[in-house]
Amino acid sequence: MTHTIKALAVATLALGLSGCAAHQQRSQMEAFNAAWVQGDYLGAAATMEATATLTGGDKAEDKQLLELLHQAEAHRLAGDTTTAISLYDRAETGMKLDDTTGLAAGLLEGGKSVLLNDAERDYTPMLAETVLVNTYKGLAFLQEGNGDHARIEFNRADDRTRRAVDTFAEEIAAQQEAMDEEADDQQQSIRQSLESDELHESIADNYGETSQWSVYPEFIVPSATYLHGLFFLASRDAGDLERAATSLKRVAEMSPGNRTLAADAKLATALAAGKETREALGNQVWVVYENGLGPVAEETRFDVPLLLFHGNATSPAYTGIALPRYANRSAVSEPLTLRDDNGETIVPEPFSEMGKVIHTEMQARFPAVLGRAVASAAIKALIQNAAAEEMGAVGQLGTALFAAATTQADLRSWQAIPDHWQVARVARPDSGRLTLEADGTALGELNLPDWPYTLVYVKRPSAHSPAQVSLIDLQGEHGGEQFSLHGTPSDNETDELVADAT
Amino acid sequence: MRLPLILLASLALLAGCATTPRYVDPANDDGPVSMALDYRDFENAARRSVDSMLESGAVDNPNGGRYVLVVSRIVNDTMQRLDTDQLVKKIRVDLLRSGRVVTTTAVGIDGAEDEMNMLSRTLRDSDEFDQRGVQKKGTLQAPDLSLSGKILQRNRKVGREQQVEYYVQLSLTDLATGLALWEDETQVIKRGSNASVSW
Repeated sequence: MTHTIKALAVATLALGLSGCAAHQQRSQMEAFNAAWVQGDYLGAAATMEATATLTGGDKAEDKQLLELLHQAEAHRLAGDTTTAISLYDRAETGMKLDDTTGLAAGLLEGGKSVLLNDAERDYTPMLAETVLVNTYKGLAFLQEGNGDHARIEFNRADDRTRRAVDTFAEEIAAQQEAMDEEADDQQQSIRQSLESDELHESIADNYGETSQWSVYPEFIVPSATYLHGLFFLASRDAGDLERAATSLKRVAEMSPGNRTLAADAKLATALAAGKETREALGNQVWVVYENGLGPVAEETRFDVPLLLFHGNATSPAYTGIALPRYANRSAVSEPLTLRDDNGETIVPEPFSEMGKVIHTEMQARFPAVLGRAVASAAIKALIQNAAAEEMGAVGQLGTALFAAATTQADLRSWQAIPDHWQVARVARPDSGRLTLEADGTALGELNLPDWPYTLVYVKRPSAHSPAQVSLIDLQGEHGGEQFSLHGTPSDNETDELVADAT
Repeated sequence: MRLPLILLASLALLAGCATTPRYVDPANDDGPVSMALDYRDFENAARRSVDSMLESGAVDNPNGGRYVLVVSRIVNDTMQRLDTDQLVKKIRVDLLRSGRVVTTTAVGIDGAEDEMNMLSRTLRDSDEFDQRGVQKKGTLQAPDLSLSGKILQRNRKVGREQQVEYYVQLSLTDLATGLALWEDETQVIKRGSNASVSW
């Protein structure tokens, strides 16, 4: 009787903790999104204040990574680049801590994941998100006219992209090693279940084939690689042009229909080869537009057949698992265009769909995500069986409740990233004036500084939020300008966006 | 009764484990090596570069006397926020000690390194100053040589480890002809954990 009470108490406590954390996360994200889609960026940042530790102190950076990411981008959009950079720096510290966590803490995190679910682990950002951290920080430094530090950030973004492929392989290998370490009942149950055809058929039926997702041929965040290329294209250092050409060609290959990307790749190649000169090129203006709200994870729960190993016998069991599935939110439907002095309209062309980027990464990581979910389900099923044997119906009921309540997918993600990017390049008009329009209605007029390479960086999470426009010197020699240009969305569209975001 | 004793013993152990500050002899520092560039790397790179420059004879003035050197741009093309002045300063100190080169602080890529060069000349015609001590026109010396360079970083995976390669590339240009009189590359190669990024 005492054992039963203890087991149920532990189960209830774990269940309560798990439920509280998940509820708090959901509420926080809802509040962030509500402010974000309205263009209230400081308000959005305020919703993501990290809670204090139990002793009232500040949490370590890896324990508040998700909050730091949201706050940093909100401050960047609000025009406070200094705070944004500081927060992004702290996020990078958290990412490093997360990577290099000691063995004991790593085991604890792994244990939480298996006994409860992935959502109980400290937030580990997707690699695409880590690449964007350095890209946004690079843009913030350029905005401050600090090309030297921007260069460092674009180099970091490039290195994170390089590391991605290794990281996917290491994640799967680490999980395999963990299963190979001890061939006890649990390990054998997990291994046999993961190897069974029935499990994979069930995944295909209920979750879908990951091979059917629309993905890039290799891991890349095209917008980050593109901005890396643009920065080095604009650089005065001759040796940088080769790097620019490599990055811009890579991005152009990923989006074959985008004429601007193709033209930029051609330009960088010609400049690097000395076939074209900067003097003949004249002053150029790039318009890069971050459109809409990026994908979010939704939970898919279903029962899968497991093979539970006990003694020398294997018995089948059906147990629930929960997996994250990424769904697109919305882009701003009214097209953003630019009009020059001659009345010519420039339409930025889309590239770098975040949904495709996330699916590319998720496809590579799926074996590890599935492995953790199956491990968690198998262990909970074994605990249920043991409880039934030792404590009868009460034990079985208690552990079944525990399993049902803790089977949750990790739905956390950085929700300040867009649905996709768009890009256009024009020769700087003699007057320096460009009119920004949304669906044919003028949002405002841009007076472009007389810089050789100007980046007009626009971010607009929803039709109800203003277009945040930054004028950036790609050579990082002058501080930029930032302002908000308001549009007039229809009420229907606004309601829809807010609803989607929450 | 036993619990307080255990707690006290634990506290004593923790206090014993705390790191206390201590001096490090830069010449004999065999402390842990990080994947980032540290002062030892700067020290070595500067020494090897200056040795190479002096050995090449590029700074031997055939007319006697010392060349005037200006430090141009040293691009930090790594993934770390480095103070490139730290490297340049060591090179300047060693070159000055060689007796073959002096460095001007009156000219620089982002303006004069020492603004007093020009500020002191604003004292001309001021009744408040003894004009005999005020700098005359045409006394500043234009540089003969320019030192420019780049610090590059390339990361790669080697086996299960991460290899971080730093290249300190320097060029010495004769400003009269635009020709590079001397060029050198110093490599700093480190290998360590691949668990995280190198910065």
